[in-house]
Amino acid sequence: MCEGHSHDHSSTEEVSTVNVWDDSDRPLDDLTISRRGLMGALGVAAAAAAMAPLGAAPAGATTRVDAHKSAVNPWKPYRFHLSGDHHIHTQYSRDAMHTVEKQVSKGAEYGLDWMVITDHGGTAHQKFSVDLITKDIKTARLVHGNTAIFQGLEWNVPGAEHATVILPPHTTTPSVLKQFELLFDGTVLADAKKITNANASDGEPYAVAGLKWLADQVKSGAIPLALMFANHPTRKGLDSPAEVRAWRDAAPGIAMGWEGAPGHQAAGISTKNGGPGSGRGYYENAFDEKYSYEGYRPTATENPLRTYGGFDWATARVGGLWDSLLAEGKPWWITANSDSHQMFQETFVGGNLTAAGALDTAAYNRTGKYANAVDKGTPSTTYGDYWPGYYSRTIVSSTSKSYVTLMKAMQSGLILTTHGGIIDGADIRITTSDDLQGVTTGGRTFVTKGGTVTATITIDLASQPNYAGFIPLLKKVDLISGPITGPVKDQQTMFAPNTKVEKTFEVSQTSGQVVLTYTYNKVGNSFYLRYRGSDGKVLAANGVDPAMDVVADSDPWKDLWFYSNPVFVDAI
Amino acid sequence: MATLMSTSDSWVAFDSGITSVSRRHLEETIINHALKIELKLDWLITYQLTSGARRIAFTISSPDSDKLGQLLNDLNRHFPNFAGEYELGELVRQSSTKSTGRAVVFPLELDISTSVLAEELIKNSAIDAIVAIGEELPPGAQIQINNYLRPTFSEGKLELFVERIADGQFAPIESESPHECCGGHENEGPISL
Repeated sequence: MCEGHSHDHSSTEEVSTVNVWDDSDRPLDDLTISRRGLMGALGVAAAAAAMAPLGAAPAGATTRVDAHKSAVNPWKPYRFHLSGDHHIHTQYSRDAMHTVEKQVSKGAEYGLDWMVITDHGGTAHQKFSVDLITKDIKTARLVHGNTAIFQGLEWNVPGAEHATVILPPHTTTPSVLKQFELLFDGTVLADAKKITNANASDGEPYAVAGLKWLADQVKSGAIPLALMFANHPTRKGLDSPAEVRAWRDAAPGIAMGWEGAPGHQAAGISTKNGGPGSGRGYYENAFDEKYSYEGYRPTATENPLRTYGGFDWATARVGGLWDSLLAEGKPWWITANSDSHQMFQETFVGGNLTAAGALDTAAYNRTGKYANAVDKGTPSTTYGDYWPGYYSRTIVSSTSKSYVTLMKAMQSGLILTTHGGIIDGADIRITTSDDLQGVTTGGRTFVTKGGTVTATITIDLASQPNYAGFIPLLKKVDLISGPITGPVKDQQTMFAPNTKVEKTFEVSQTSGQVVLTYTYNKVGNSFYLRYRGSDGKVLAANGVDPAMDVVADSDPWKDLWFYSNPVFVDAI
Repeated sequence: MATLMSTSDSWVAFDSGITSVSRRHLEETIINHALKIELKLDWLITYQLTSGARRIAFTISSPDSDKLGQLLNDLNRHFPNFAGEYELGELVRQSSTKSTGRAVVFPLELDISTSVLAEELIKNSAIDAIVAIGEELPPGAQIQINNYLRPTFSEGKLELFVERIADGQFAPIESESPHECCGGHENEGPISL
């Protein structure tokens, strides 16, 4: 429903004229941010500046974390709001089963403009799957010319969770992926006895080294660009705040964020309603003394190892880990994806099964691939995923339909996340008494101390039924803001206690466009702000925040949210 | 190597070190070996050690100090010990004072194969309190246990954290078999000592 949607309604017709993605190899100076030496100490400001149109403030001026007078990600009516999903599995994962063609055609059917195929890293995958899937992806690109299909990897981050690695089409893409996986994938390293296992903390240095290696590939011109987004960050409590900061700081411009909302959103549907009756997102794990970070231990008031309104606790908690990262004034963006392996109530089963009916991993390990899935005609009651685009969307605002431009937009935080089609889209514009044009998400603006900052979000309310068959109604929007306090001394810092819901807007309108404006007067200190919105059906006891999702009884269609990425405001 | 603790005759502690054996399989290893050598376990408690690499340690209590020593020696033959005596001694102190830790084995006299009343569980076990995350546990709450309990110590009390599940029931936040994503990273089973 957001496919090709433009917030500049007058230019809608232009969108349909561009229907093939540009995967041509451009001169590297046009593609490679790090090559231009812009990343410096502050990855995103430089990266976002590289996205800016001619005439914007020079990027070199934005390499300081503290206040500075420049605008990054200047607001403009972006032509392309491109829905996508950077977390999709195929028969080349040892726990998934569909062909690339099937996943892509389903994603396109459900309105996605771009997808990243991210099969799990592993020894068989590294050895066999990468080469095999390269051919499948090339074929899919020919068949689906209106859809960008990135070749990626779900990296077993050594000592931590998983992460999406995205590479653009390039002659070196398969070889870079294979080499990266061989050198830095946690499972491959464990199989080679270089680390104890994929989750053990003796692997942590490999994670940082891997990200630096990717950055070096970009810097050297071996690959135009690479991005990393951590997946399901607190599902098991493995990604400690210090690890996340280490990734971010080791490779600014590469390690850009995490899944604000994990996939597997149907996993919490009750058995009574034909679902698997697990935790939403398969977030049903317990704190594990072997691997979980101490700060994620459940308390009487909250459990970081559960989703809240379908979003990861690290993102959903106001003043929580995400906010503690943003309060440093550094970039860390969120996305929302399907993590699709096996779909809720679908009738297919894997092409290689054991006698007990499970996927035959021994067969996979021999070839790095399962035979094509087989339709048994009976809906499954144990699968907890949705097809790409069916429920979760990462909507990226891009200036063109080019692979690298889209990646650069992701790198710059031009990202909105939605569930269940709660809204069609949103345009965020933050202006100040000094910057009348303003900036949008992922951006950075400035205001003279004592001046005003005006935050405006223009929301296109849902205009058509979602894939559950109803038009969602947005009931409220929260504007969240907190001070920028600079880099933390303690890398395990996981709270930003001064970040709060600044304003809650009640929404009564049921269709069309809603414009919500809030003014910060007499601004004295640098701060950041972000938005989230909800259908208001399931809220915490305070009536504002998302509630902890109920294990075995969470209907994802009755608890819909959208989250924006932040905007930073420097008080000068 | 093996470190038999001196703060209590009936407690020992050991550090499983950097091992690929999962927490669950370590627990099964200890319980299975205790059964094999006919050692009665009163308590088996887990801890997280963060000195050096993040890892798991155990304290074990039994009235049979001889066999307890045998168990510890057998364990330490398989798992290299990283923690020092002071660190392990501190774990024993925490166990014996009920200050921190997660109980795998603890006093319990109740059929926990299905659901039980919260009040019954407290009455018939060492569990002192049942804490529902984010809400008050309503009177008469049913706890769906399914033969698996891992309460934790907090400030002198053994508490069981539970969460709301379907049909108005509650369940412990730690279940025996959560969804194993991606085929799991640890496929080794318990070790035969």
